[in-house]
Amino acid sequence: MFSLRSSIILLLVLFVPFLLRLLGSEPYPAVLLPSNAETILKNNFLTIKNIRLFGIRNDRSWEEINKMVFFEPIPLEHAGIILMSHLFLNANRIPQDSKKDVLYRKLGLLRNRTLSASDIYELHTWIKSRLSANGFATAKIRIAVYRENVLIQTGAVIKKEILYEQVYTLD
Amino acid sequence: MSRFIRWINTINNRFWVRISTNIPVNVASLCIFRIITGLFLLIIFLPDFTWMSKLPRAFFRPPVLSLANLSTGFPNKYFFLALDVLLLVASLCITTGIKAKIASRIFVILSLVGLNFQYSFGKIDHSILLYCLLFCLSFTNWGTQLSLVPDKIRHSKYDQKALSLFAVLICFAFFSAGFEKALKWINSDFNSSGTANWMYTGYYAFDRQFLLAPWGKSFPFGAQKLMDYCAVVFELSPLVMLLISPRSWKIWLLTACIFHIMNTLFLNISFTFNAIIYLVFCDFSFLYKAIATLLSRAVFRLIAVPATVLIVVLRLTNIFTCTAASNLFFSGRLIEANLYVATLVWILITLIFIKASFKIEREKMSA
Repeated sequence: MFSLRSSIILLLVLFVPFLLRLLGSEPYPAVLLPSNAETILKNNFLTIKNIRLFGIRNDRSWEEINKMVFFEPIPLEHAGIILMSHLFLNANRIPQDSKKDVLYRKLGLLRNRTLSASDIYELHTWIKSRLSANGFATAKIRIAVYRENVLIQTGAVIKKEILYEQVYTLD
Repeated sequence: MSRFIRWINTINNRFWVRISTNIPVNVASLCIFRIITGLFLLIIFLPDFTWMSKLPRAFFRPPVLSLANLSTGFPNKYFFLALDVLLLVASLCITTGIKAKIASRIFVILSLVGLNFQYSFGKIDHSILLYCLLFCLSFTNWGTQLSLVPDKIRHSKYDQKALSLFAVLICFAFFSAGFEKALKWINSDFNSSGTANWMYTGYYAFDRQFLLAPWGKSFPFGAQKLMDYCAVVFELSPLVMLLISPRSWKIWLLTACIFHIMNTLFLNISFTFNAIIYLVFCDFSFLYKAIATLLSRAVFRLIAVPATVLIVVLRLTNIFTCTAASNLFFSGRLIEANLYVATLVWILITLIFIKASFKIEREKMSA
């Protein structure tokens, strides 16, 4: 069967990515399954952070945008970081490089993530096309972050507060 | 020192011999499994990437140690079109047995290239075991029989090695999922639960509210804590079960299928791409004669050829219209419909597993 040398190489191939994930940088490809070992306390309600998008309809009223339709064709589960970064429209909201990121960049393992003027133009064009495809005016988009306390059994929102809200002009 | 190395060497040999003893391999079964895998790829799960071709570069955020870091942004449409069409061709070659060995390797390499770009949005999915399966099986004789253009026959020791390695990869993958859970979930604090976190966060934050999810969230908190213990034991036990006996390994695999059915029903997490991986340990040799006879019949070809053409046309339509759809029936945005497909697939896989493992085993023993 497998020699000792092959087994040691196999162990390295398996454990190095595993340790990297434990340190917070999951590489790909790697033989790993999702862990998510977070726990929740027994409580009647759950606090969730909900990022919502709003567009302007023809009658100039703001209306919530269906995120799944807006991000089409990106599957919603992959749009999480785009949402958390507020569609990359606000430089302050884009996750800043950690010390690890700076190190990885020096080692050439991570690309520079700053956006050029043409990137921003391309991004605005894409957002406008998605707004237009969903029947919204293309001039503005509003992003609001809510903190909601939801009753676990019924799903009723018992407390809702706005953490952040901003209107972005796209033209 | 040399004594120590000899001792380690002995343990290493015993470990692999034990595993290979507990995983009986049969070439006829592997060849039938190749056809099942090919059909699975064509109908149930074929990765597709053309939908990424029109996205802005701002969304391109590859993780560290990703091949995508070699690129400055998402490649153009023709790159992804070529990737998707070649993946379709490779899965056709696997199904029909046209140089299945090389087709499997091409499928794995192309998929990993595409997935590196897909995970550049910042989230990594964990479908890796499917590609590990195809890669391991590309070293076996699975393309030597029931094939249009068969591969050269290799020594059967490679079949044994490949399957043993794949079994260890499954064990490690589940260990990687269970290790952190064991540290945080195994305690006597009945006021905290990891299962409840999956259940409630999924339901309210990610809108996973289909199938039996509304019923699942009303489980008593204590029961969810007990599920924490079960999940950790399940995820950390495969290597032990693999080393005990062939039967214990199959019991663990069957538990894995049931675990996935539960996850699909209650958490709406389907992991459909894993559905095929457990079947490789089944013995399908009882079907060999019937399938060989069927393949040689003209009537079967009259049905199979148009059916394959239809599948290819549907897949190409999805590719050229940039529709993200891993299965043949529904686009990715029809979440509930896809969950129904996943549930049916998992139930079918579980039934096939029971039939091709335990029932055949019992029949052999009674014979």
